[in-house]
Amino acid sequence: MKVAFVVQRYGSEVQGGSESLCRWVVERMTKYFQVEVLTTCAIDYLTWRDHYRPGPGEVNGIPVRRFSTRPPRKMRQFNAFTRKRIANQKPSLPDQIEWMRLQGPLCFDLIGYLKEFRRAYDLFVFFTYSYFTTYLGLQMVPDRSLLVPTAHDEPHIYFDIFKPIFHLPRGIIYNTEEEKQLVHRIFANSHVPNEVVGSGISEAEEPKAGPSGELPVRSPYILYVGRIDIMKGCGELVDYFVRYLKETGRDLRLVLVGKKFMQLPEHPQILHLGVVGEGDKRRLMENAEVGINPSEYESLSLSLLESWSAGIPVLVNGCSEVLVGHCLRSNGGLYYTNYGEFSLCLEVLLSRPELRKKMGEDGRRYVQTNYAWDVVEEKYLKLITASSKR
Amino acid sequence: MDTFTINTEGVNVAEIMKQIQERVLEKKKAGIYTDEEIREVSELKKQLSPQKEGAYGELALHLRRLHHNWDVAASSALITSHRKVLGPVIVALKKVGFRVFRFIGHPLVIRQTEFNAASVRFASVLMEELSRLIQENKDLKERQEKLLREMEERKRMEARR
Repeated sequence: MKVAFVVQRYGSEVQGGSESLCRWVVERMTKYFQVEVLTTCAIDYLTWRDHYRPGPGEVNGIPVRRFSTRPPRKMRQFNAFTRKRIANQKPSLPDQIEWMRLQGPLCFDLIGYLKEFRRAYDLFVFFTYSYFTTYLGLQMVPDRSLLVPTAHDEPHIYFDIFKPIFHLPRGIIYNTEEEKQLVHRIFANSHVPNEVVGSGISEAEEPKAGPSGELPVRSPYILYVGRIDIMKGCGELVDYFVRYLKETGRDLRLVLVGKKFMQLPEHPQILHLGVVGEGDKRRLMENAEVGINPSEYESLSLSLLESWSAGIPVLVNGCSEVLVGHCLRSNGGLYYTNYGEFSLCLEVLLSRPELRKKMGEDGRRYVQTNYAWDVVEEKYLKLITASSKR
Repeated sequence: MDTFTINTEGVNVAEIMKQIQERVLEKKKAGIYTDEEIREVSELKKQLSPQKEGAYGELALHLRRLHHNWDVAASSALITSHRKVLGPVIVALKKVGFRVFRFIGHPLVIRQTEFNAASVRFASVLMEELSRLIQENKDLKERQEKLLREMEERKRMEARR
């Protein structure tokens, strides 16, 4: 059985939740099916500019067919259009279609390939609902497609233009129960066969031992892993943390791991370590008091699952239904919606080591039960096989 | 935190969050500050806020600039002209004029330089004293907060008896 995975970017060096999920799934499905990835030449999700060469190639032994994006995106134009015609109002259909065109990636060669070679594949699995490759691509091959939307409660999910995407495919694979509820609520598509699958956690490398095996940061600390960006809630996190330190005088550090896209204050108890290897990340997680995710927009949150896999409790943004859902189902974390709750939750967690240990254990059990790779693999295998037979 | 009842045998996040949210609501209903916090605010010295720490950082930057630029006697002027044809003539004239100015104005330049040096020394001493006071203020505040926390703890224990 030949299965094509269609995604906006693909490669070992591509950073992104959906793209990483697609790559991990592809590398596991290759055991069962003849797989091929259809994607763009882009590595940068802002401009979609060609980075790789178009045509057939390979990544980690997986056949990858790349298509050029023409023209690349102009972010200034996209942002100006969004500000003027989309933000704070209900955009008209023509505006929604224009937004989709500006969103990109405009990869007409890929769309043309889908149209011409649709019969050469038994099934197409599309990742990420909101990009042009899925938006138009799925509509070319609806009768032999599966959708992995990776949706969350963002303004453009309410666009009318996405209705066909959530009704046409043979099946939909969600990352969380909350994502499924959100999509069913907006698109009334519960009749479309679906499954909540999520993602497994990748195996950590062996930790690299330094000259003394010491961590680059003194305990105790709370840990954030991910893009350090205002849009990820990091601005609010830093403000709350500084205020918390002033009020309590605690000897506590906030450690941020990841690429920085915002200014961080010069503060002796706020440390940015940049991007670290998987082994070092694991060690930092295992030694943290609490893992923290301040983002309001998450469809799964791999960093949350990784924190629990490392056996530590989490503190998350209570405005994210996905993150709150994880905490309530696992009993592995607390959540906040304002500073008062943030500081009390942190105090509760920091002053009770036995509670932290128990919540960490509960979180780890939750991940092993629901997000182990063999569980995820089984679900994908079942759904792909069933969808191709119908 | 001792007034939170948390069962670590079987953790129930929903129950813990209910207690936390109730506590936050109580604080809000009682007004922004509790009695303890009102006393704390009135007794504490003003701590430097992040904005003020920013201003302190700016003072340090200005002092560094002063250190680079005080010695006008030692500074040299780069004499140039953008004109292609008349340029060399203008440069020669400027050089002569600059030498005359230095000859006549030398005592003034020296006095200015001495004044600049004294000002920079004064500013440096002020910065040192300011740094010392900031640190002292921070230490006193930490000590005061620690004492207030101990008082609060003692009050709670007495109330339980």
